[in-house]
Amino acid sequence: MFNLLKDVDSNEFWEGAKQNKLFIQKSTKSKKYFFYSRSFSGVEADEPFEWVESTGKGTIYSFTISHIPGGSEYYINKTPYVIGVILLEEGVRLMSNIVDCDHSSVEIGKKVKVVFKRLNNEIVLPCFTIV
Amino acid sequence: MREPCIVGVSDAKIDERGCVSKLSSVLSVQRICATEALKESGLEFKDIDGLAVAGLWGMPGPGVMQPNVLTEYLGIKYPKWLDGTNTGGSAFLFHLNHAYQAIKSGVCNNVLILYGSTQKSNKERNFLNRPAIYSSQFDMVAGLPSPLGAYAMAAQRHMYKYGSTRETLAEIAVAARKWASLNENSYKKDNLTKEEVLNSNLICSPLSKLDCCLVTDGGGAIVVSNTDMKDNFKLSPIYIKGFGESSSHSSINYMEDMAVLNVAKESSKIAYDTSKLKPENIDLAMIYDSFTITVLMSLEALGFCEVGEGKDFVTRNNISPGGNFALNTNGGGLSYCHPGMYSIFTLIEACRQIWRICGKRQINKEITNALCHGTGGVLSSAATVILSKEK
Repeated sequence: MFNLLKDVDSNEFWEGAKQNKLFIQKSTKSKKYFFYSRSFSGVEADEPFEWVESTGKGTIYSFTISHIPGGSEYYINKTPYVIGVILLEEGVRLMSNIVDCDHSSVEIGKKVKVVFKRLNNEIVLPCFTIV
Repeated sequence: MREPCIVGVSDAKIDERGCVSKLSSVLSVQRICATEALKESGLEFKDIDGLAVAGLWGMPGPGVMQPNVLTEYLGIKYPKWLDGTNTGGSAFLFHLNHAYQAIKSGVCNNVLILYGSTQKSNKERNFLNRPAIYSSQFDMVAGLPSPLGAYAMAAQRHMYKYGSTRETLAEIAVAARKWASLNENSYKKDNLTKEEVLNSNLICSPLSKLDCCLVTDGGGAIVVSNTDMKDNFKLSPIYIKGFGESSSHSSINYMEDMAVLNVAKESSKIAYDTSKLKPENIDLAMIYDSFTITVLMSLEALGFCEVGEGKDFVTRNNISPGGNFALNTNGGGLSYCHPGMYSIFTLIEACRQIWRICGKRQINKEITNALCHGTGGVLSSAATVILSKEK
């Protein structure tokens, strides 16, 4: 349904999510975090890096309330839903859904925390909810 | 010294359904545009030794190698230069930049830039069944209708940071419609009010249907030649005074600052530097309006106002027909046509305005310099071209 290609760059992210862990990566030399996940450092390609578990806390950087389904057929009959870009405490942004809250309460800058939602047998998506 | 120049342009006719004529293919559309542009230029097919093409057709299949398909279809004998750069809707401005360099350096003499689309006739547009791969896999799993949702998030951020509003965006949609009503080839010509834009249903907040570009068929062609051929030209040549191109991301989440179009700052800085011109020297701005927010952020990034002041700019200036700031005089992707990749139409209209062949929508003042700007992807790539009557 999602035609998700888990590859050498993203497999650990999705496997972590299945265990309710939000994995991001950090360059061990510059100590900077990066996202999306990669099989090399997204800060400087030749730097060493490590996987770390994010606190899952952040703020809403931007969002849209979608009245049409996008990406996958999974979203047919789920409109309206909120797609958000979350700025994590560690300083990286990721795109996900903002769930379990009144849509009118969604605003840029509001604090959120991660909640894991199983979409199907294969995918658990780290979503966010307003705290 | 030979100087590259544009000498002929053409856009495909679309009917009241926004479609090209029945049984047209993307190839026949491009052939007709090429024939008309060549006729306007005074050159012939046999003069063409360079070809640039981009489109969303024929994939998977022959569309993966569009320069080969068009070379074969048009019967161009062993072109010396080919360009299939596809950076999204901005691609044709990249092509012009590259053609300029190829012609200037003597690699080839006469280039055709081509585009065709039958997306409306063939009902090809769809937000679903996008594979979740590479950096956009997170967006697709999160259900982002792309590109609309991505532009919506940039608009949301721009409103939060700079206080622009849906009213600001509506000004842009209404002005585009007024221009389109003066263009015989426009898909949407009926009157549009600010209230209608504000009252139309949100699709991806804060953007409504009337903030979005149209879905139509269409096509275009541009003939780029050089001053060595000047005895052939029917119209006065239009020179490419400045150009710049860049790219910054693929998925909207990796845009450095979602409220600032830095990639357009970069591309336009190079274009201003190479032309030695400034925003105040521009007589006409043709800015790719994929969405109303694209225009607002482009105006800021291109230096027509400060970043964050776009909302005051569109209120203070008159961007409608007869106004003081000539913008998107063909009606734009919002109201004239949007076959999927629009930037070729910024060049076509700028040339026609400079040649003063625009009929009812011809702007009154003399146009020496016109700026064309194209955005591709989800605010991802940018190309800026400054065209001029003067060498």
